[in-house]
Amino acid sequence: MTLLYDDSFDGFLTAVFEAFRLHLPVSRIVSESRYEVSLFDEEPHRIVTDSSSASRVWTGIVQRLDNDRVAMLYGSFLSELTGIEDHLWRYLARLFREGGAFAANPLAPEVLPLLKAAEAVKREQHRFLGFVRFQKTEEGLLFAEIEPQYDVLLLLVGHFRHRYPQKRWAIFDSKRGKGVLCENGEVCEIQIPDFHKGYQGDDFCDLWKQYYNSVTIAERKNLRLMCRELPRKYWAHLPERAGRCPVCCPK
Amino acid sequence: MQKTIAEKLSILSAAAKYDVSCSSSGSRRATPQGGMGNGASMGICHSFTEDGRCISLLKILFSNACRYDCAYCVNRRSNDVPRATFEVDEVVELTLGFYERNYIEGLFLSSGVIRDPDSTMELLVRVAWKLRHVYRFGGYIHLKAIPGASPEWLQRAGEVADRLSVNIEVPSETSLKLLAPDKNYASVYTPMNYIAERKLEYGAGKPSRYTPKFVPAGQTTQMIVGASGESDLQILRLASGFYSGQHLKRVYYSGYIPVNEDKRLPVVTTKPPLLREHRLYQADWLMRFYEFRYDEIVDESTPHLDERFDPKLGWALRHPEFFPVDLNTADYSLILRIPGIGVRSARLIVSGRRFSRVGLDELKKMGVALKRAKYFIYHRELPIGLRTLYPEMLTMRLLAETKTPLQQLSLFDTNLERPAVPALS
Repeated sequence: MTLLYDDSFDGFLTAVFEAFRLHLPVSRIVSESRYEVSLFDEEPHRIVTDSSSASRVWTGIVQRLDNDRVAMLYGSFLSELTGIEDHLWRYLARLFREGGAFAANPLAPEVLPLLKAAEAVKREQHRFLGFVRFQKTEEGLLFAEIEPQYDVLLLLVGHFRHRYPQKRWAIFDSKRGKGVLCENGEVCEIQIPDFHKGYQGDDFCDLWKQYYNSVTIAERKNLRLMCRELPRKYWAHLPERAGRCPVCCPK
Repeated sequence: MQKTIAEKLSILSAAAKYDVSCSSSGSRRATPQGGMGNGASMGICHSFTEDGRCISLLKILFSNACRYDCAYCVNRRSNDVPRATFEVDEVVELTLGFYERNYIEGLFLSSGVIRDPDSTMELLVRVAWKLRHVYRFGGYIHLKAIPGASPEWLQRAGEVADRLSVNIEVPSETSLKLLAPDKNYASVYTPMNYIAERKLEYGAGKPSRYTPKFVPAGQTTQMIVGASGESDLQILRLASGFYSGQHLKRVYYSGYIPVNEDKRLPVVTTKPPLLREHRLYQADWLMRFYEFRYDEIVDESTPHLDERFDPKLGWALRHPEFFPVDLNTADYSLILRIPGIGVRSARLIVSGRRFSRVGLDELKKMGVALKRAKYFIYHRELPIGLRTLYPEMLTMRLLAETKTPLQQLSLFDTNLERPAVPALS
C-alpha cells in the first residue's frame, strides 16, 4: 500500500501514525510532489496532515532515542532523497516494535542509509553557515538567497538568530520557493517569489571581492582543490565567485 | 598622500596572506547583550581562494611599514613595496561590515613592527578592544602577539582576543639569527610561555561562566619550511615540544614561497615545497589525532619524511611487527594506525563490531577505503598473499599503484616504454 503525504515532516509523521493505527501493510510512503504513477501501483492513499498525531509520533521517537539520533532522523528526512521515507519507515517500525537499542549499530540495514543521508545534509548545513551571503537593502534588511541541494534552510535559522540578535534578516531558498524572516529574534516563514534577482552588491561587496582576489597566493594556485571545497553549484549566490569562468575548473 | 580604504585593504591583505593560519575554531563565545556575533567552536569556512585555502577570517596587517629586515618576509624594510597603515576605525568598520554580511567569522589582525613591539601591540589591542567593548562584537578575534611585546600588553590582548599567535618562523635559532637579525628565540618564547602560563591560571580551579575568558581558543604558531636547511625531524620535534610544553592548539607549516632575492635564501625560481608541507601536515595530524609520537614518525636514521608515502604508511612499512591487524578484536588505537583508516572509519568499526562481525561487506558499506588498508588487515576473505608481503615488496606495489596515472593510449605513439599488448609467453 502506498501512502502520500504533503511534503511536510508533520505529514510524514502523520502517515506513520496512520500506518500504525490502522495496521496498514505499508509498502511505500511518498511525498505528493515526488510521487510518480507507475503501471503496477494500486491507488495510493492520501494522508491528511494532523499535527496532534504527528506530535504523538514525535514524542514517541524522542522518548526512545537520544538527541543525536533524533537529529539524524530529521536530517535524513531533509535530504529529500528518493526512497528516504521508506528507510525512515523501516527504522521507525523497528524502533516502535523493539525499542532503540538497534540504533547504536551503524551497520544495521535500517540505520546505514539514514546515517549516510544525514551526514550529507549535515555537511551541507555546515557549509551554508559560511556560504550564506547577506546583502544590505536600503531599509537595512539583510537579505540572502541560497539554492542548497538539500532542504537545510530551517537548520540554519538558529545559528543566524543567535549571531545577529539585533538585525532584521531574511534567507530565501529560491530553489524551493520558501524563506525565513527574522525580526528581533522572532522567526517567521515567508514566500517572496522574485524578491531579488541576483546579487545587487554594495560598497562592502566590492571590498570583499577585492579582498578575495588579493589574498590568493598565485604560486600556490590549485583550482581543483578550490572547486572541491567550494563546489560550482553554490557559486551563483557567492559574489566573489559569481560570473567566474565555469570551465576553469578542472575535473 | 592618503590612501583610500580599498587601496589599504588590497595592500595589507596581500601582505598578510603568507600567514597560513586561518582557523576560527575552538572558541565558544555567546553573543554579547546588545551586540552582534558569537564564536562557533567548530569553526566555519566562508570561502575558498583559488589556491584552495579557506577564508574564515578577515586576515590583514594593521601596517606593513615594518622596521625589521627579515630575509624571508615580503614586508622587510629593504624591500621597495607600497606601504600602508590602517586607522583603528577603518579596521573596525571593515570587520563589522564584512561580519554582518556573513563574509567572515571574525578578524585576524597582524602587523609589521611599526616603532617597537609594544606600541605595535598596543594598536592591535586597541582595535580589538574597540570591537569588543564599543561595538559589543562577539565574533572571533585572532591577534598576532608581536615577538618581544611586554607582558602588560599580552595580558590585555589575551582578554579581548580569542586566539593569540607568536610566529617562530624559522625552526632553529641559528637560522633565525641569520635570516632575521632583529629577532631571537627568547623574543618568541617569552610571550608564548607567558600566554601559556596565564591561560593555565585562568583555567585553574573551577572556572565558572563568570570567569573572564583569556585566549579561549589558545595560541598557535607558524614556521616556514624550506627557507633554511632544517630536517623534518627538527621541525616535528619542535612542533611536538610546542604541543606538550606550551599547549599550543596548532602549529602551522608554511612552505617557503620565494619573495625576495637574497643570498641567504633559496633562489627566487625555487618552487614552493608544497608536497613536503603536505607531508608535514599529515605528520602533525598523526601527532594530534592519531596518538603518534614525533619520534615514531621520523627518527635519527630517517630524519626526513618520505615524500612518496604519507607518514602513516611510512610508519606501517617500517613496523611490519604490528600487522596484520584483526579489525574484530584489535584496540581502537591500533585500528587508527592502519594506513587508509581514519578516525571516522575507526569509530564506525569499533561501534559496529559490537553487533556483528566486521567483514569486507560491512567495511564497504561503511565506506572504509581498502586500497591501502587491505595489505595491513587480517580477514579471511582477503587473499593471504596480500598480508604476507615483505615491506620491500609492498613498497614496490604501493608505488606502482600510485605512480601510473591512467592515460589514453595513442595509436601512433612510438615511445611506449612497454608494448601496449603483452607478448605471448
